[in-house]
Amino acid sequence: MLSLRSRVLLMAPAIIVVTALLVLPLGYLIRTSFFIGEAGMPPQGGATIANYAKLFSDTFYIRILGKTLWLSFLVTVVATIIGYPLANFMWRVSKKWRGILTIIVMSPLLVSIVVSSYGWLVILGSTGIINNSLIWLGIVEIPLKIMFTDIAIVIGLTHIVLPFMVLSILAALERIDPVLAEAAKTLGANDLRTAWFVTLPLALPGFLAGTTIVFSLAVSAYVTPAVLGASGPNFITTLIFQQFVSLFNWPLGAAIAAMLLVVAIGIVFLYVRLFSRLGGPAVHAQNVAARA
Amino acid sequence: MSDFAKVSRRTLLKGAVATGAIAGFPAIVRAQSKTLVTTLYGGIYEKNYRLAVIDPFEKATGAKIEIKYGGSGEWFTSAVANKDNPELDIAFLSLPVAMKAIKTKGVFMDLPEELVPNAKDVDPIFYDLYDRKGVGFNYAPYGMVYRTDHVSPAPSSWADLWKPEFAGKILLPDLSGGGAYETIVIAAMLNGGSETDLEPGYEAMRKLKENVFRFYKNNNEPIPIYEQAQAIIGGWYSARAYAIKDKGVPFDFVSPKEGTPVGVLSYHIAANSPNRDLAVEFVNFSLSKKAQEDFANNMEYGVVHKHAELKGRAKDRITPHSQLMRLDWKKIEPQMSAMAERWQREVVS
Repeated sequence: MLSLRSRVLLMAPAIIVVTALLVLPLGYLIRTSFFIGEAGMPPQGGATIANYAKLFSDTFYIRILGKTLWLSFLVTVVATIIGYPLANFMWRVSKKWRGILTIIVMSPLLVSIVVSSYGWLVILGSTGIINNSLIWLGIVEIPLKIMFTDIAIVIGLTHIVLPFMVLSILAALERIDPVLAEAAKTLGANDLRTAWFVTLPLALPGFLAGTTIVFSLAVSAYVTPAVLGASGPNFITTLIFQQFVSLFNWPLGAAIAAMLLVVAIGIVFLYVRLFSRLGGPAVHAQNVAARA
Repeated sequence: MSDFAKVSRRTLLKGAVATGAIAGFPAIVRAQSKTLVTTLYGGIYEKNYRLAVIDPFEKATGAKIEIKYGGSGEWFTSAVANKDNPELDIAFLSLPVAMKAIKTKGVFMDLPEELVPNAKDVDPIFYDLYDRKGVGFNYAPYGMVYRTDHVSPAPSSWADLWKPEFAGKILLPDLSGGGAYETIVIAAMLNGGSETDLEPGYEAMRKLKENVFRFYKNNNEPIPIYEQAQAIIGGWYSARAYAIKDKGVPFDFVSPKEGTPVGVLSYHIAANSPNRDLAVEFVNFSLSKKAQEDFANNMEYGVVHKHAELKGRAKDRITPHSQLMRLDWKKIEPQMSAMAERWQREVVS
């Protein structure tokens, strides 16, 4: 065991990086949110809650925040539904195939988000692959409008966050002792029951990690909603960008960013607490099994 | 073990020193041969601007020009945020943002004719517009563009955008795309309003928004959309439209009968820049007849020089100074924040 001093020393680089790159800028951002904003002017001094008063007295901002949370929730659900079977499959194949599949699953992260977002234009556009196929098959007559809608945001974000979901769940699955499934079968459970009552509960910590990461990434995404979403402020992040860069109202932009931060942290915190209660016994069972 | 540690430590040190020397050396060279930081749009604009202005200037003065890419909003934000220790020596801003820039105190220096002698040949509409606190370099006519295979007859008035047959096929700029403020003013003028009476403009835009396929956020977005004919008509800058046409797409640009407003790019020099003199020299250089003609004839965008001679295709494609729609930016500027907010709430969302 390392001494306390060595442990603190080892942590120092991480603490310095986090302080310099996260805590200080965030502090500056939150400070700015209490300034007076005037277009084209540096933020004026004076502690004012006017920006927050505007946010909460005007349904426009709340509505966009609500929409952002709702779409991020959808992304999390879709990524979970797609991610679990994939992770489960990767867990069952041989080590070699698992390596190959991992690279394939990670591939969206290797392409710039800007590039992949423009790629979706080719696929989702009204003369894109999907619409052309639907028309050719006679399913629709007029091309569906998918591009520049909320659906496009959900599709684009799911594509980007999926690796985080799959790898989180896979990591949890890899910790499961294979003996447990065999024991369940010996005791008369079929494959379905084993998967539902044994494997799934044991993988819950992976779901917790995956959904938390995915939701946090989705709620703070900028490029995908900007490129694929509807015109105008379609997501809270594009609204923040517009406040800073098109309207030059930094304090209001800072206040929206602070609101997003607080709400997102609040949701994740509540969710983790709720989930831990649900997943607690499973984790406990796993530990007992590991010791046995 | 201890020997190994010693050697590796020494090697590491040597390596560090070597790295420092390599990394530090160009910085010293840079400091000696003066670097000027300017902002610029990428792509074809950069190519032609380098040919006409940057390369000859570097050759003539030995200075090095460093480019920051992005958009006017970001550049102006940076100029204000770093005004005491500017990151940008020259902010090269587009029109509505430039109007904000000249109103912001203490960020940019004045550019009187005594400092910039070549400004005497600049058409006053591109100099006095900025109260001589900035000076234009070139202008881009913002007119109507259309797919010639889908739109017949060719559009002739801005009012054609409201025709029902174009429902769902129109592209217009969002605030960051350039042209959004102008679009509000035009919509107002078409319906009995003016720069100071924009209400009819908002009303017309609220009606039009259902027909708009997309309010684009930057000028690269429309390219694939027009090429695939997902949209067939809209408002855009002339050279952008001709770039598509020259690829073989059935596409064209028209100056509507009401006139074309212009996007102007103008120079604004950071008041606290340590390279002010060089920056002024650069601006003066870019306003010379030769630089202006070289840029205009290659880029096919209009330039601010009164006597620049246009040749060949550039001559046909550049809307001359006399046919430009002169919006009263002095009246529009104070309303810009309100316009942006109403645009965001009533038009694009």
